Amino acid sequence: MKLTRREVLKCAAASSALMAVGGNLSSVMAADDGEPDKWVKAVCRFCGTGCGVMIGVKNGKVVTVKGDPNNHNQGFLCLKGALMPPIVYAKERVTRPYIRKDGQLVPATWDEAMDLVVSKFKKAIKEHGPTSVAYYGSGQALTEESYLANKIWKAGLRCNNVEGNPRLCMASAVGGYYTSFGKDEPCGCYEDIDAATCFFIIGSNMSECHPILFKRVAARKQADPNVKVIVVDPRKTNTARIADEHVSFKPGTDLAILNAMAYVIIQEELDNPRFYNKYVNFMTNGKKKADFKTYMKFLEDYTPEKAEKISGVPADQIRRIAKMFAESSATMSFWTMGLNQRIRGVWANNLVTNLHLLTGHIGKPGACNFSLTGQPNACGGVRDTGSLCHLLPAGRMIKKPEHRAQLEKQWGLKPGTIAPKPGLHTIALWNAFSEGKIKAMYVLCTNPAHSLPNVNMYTEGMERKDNFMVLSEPFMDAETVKYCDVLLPPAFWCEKRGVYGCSERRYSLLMQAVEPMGECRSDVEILLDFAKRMGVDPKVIPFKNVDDVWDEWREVSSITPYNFKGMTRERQEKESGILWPCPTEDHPGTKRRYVRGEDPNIPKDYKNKYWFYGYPDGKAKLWMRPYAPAAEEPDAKYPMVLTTGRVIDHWHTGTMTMKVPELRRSFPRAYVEVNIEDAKKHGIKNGDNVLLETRRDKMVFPAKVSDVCRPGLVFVPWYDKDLMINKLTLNAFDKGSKQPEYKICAVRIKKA
Amino acid sequence: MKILQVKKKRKLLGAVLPAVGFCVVFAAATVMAATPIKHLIAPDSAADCYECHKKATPKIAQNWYESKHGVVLMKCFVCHGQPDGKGSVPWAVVPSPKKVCRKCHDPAMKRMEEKFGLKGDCYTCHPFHQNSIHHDAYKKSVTKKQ
Amino acid sequence: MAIMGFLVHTLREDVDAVEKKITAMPEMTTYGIHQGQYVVVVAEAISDRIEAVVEQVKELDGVLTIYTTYLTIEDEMDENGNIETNLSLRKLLKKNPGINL
Repeated sequence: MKLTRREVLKCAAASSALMAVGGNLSSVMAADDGEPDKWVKAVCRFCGTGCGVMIGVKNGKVVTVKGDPNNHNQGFLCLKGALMPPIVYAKERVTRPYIRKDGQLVPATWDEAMDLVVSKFKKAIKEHGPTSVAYYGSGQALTEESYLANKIWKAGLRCNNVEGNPRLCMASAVGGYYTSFGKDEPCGCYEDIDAATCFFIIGSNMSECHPILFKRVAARKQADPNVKVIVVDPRKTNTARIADEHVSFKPGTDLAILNAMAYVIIQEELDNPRFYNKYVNFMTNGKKKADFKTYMKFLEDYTPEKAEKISGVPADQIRRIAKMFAESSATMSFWTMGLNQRIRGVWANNLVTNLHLLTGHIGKPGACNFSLTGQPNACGGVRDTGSLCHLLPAGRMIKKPEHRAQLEKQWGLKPGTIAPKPGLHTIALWNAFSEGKIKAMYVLCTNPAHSLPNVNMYTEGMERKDNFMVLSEPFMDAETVKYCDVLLPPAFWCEKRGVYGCSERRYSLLMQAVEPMGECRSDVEILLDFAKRMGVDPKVIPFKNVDDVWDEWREVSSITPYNFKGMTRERQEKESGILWPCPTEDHPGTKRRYVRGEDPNIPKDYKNKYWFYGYPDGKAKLWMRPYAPAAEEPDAKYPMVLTTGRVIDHWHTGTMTMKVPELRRSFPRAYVEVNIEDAKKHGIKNGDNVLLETRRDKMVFPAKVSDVCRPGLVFVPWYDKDLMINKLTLNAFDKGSKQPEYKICAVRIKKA
Repeated sequence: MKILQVKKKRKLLGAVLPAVGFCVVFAAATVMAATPIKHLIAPDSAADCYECHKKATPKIAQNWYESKHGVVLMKCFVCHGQPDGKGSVPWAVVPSPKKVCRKCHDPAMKRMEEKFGLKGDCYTCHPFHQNSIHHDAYKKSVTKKQ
Repeated sequence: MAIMGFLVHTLREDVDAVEKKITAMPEMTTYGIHQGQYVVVVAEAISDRIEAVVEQVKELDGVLTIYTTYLTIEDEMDENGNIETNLSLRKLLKKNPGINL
């Protein structure tokens, strides 16, 4: 056969293409495609779901991540978790200390920086006493970091001004659990999702803020179509996609809806007298013990029809969801900031718990009132270690002399070392800093110049010349860096070792994957150095490293219901997280608290099945909380409601997620989400510039017109440091929890 | 109109050899050139693929939206990266199972490998944007009535 | 005459229709469907037109993209060893970033 030259060439062309498909495609790829040398076990840097991750390290660098198959997430990650590696090597990483001189941050040595920090703190304490200094930490710091800072300040410096950003996100949940059960933290765990037959999701955009938990809920619904999902949210978010009932309501009126649900449950004889007669005390809002009859009378103000008038939710729908909640065999509630970031946050938390106490949906697989924690370590790091101005480690309180004495004994302190007066809560603390009353503040792993509400007030205060702020922050472009006097370079996420405790009481160890960059040091090292230079008694701060800190905390917890003495470092390295309480090394961890046979704090032969040991009589409390409006309701001048929140692609102030090109390009700028009808009324089209004005500030945002927000509500995400919505938000706070009301303030909009 | 001058002496090497003249061979194993066709360059929200692909490739976009990946917001760029190559994930019309799928599906991939031997690509049986093996993702939809 | 060998990557459900349409085009020769989503094609056209001809393939419904594996315009060389063409290799390479298959 004679082939023309042309035919030969054509064959060559065809065969080269055929070669591409004919062979095994995966072998076409380069043989060495960057497979890691080792996989290091850790936890995701982002939300309170606390997914386990395996960090892939090659040649000493983080090259990839995958989910930890042995942690609760079973190998799955959400889009943020899957894209963590580039953040570690961002060019904005702070890799050496800086001191501000003539308005500019100038590189310094560690000695120079720490000497300056310590001299400022010493001067403040000498001239104005220990209450003139403070520590402001974070639910993203490691447990050991928070525990150590708490001890240095409260026991070493005798200063109770220890606060943290969980005050801005979880304080109302803490207050809610405390008032309902006498103890903080949920009583169930993630496994309950696999057994629940009804999910009540309120004040939470779970699909964007706790994606892996949402996935578990959706999978549960797929497995059993009889499972019901109720989503209560003035926005029709992606979470509502799987809802059987989406309940849209006037912002702030959820208190009325929750009480109305209780009314219906009782009217329909779906309550559980056997449970509440034995295990629940009925309490009036004035803290007086009452009875069921009083409760029924209280609820007469919350018939579905009355609640409809207040909330805008049809009475029929309230009846439907109340019945769904009560009739299911096991109901699980989830909530986050929609309930917490309110001046009635504690009340809202109580009212959800009430529904569980009324129906007995508690302490059984699938039945739990589960508060979702926003940050990866607000639970383990701040709440449990008591790193707030009124707390002591393991659920104890500064104002109780017996708690102070007990801790002083554990810490080997002279009686009376711990100051008897609680310190300043976050808003009061930053108010005081802005007034020059707090002279020196140590800020760790948080970005208050972006995250505080009504933030102009506080950034103005940070500019004062008579106060001093030292900031431990990994990224140079964080807003707070503009205001700090000393900037310290901390090791970031996988460059250090320590524990994160997530929403379900799971404490997981992050192992160190790579060496810290440049001159970075772990925050534990920095704090130990600070304590030494401040002259804190070495007997009080005897630790050599992070593992020593953990061992002491373990020991301190052992005489309290938190008791996790069984979580030794060796066990933590082998396992992928353990749920506390865990009193001994062979204890598997506790799925359900307050339940005989499951909670190790309850003797095996205890007379009752449930024991709410947070209260002396062993009973939980059902609080009759009334509906009360938000701090700043819409009025004639500012007729709409402004609410803020997150999107799945960005974490908080964006200092990390904006370093990932995909995430940055997904949401490069903030925007205002406007309802279609409102947009029409104001002549606003998608993409138009819209001026938002509150009593505090005004700002122009591009509009996203959709049906997500209900009419009268606008939503702005808070990740954009160039369009900081916190300049417009309100710093009114819950009298009980001191948590600010980010979720509701009055706004007016106009096409710009 | 460009005129390429070729040195005369090279002509002697023979007509078949690609050294003569202007001839380029891309070996299949090394460089695979693909045009990012039908692609808009959208600097704003360039990673919001779904918004444009709803109109450009509605079937794929709808499949994704209704799939498990869509419901849990496992967005396009996590697997595909960015078409201009500037993402942290390498740009791929067809993502690499070893590099991409494994991040979340490693346990399942390991089970598959033990039971059936891992196929080179996952998508022969598991079309990426749909859930044909696992049925409708969480909610029935019109396009999935099969 | 330029000769270009390439793979056409299509959606699975459209591969048959695409293959038929390509076969119908005068400049194209197809060499079968592979792995349910690739059509192997060789295009012949003068080098000035080869790009436009291949663009036509890209515009077809169901075509995701094309992967070029082979390109020669040796045939257009005159007896002095010169080639006159508007085909820009630089432009071609610029338009086609490397891809992981």
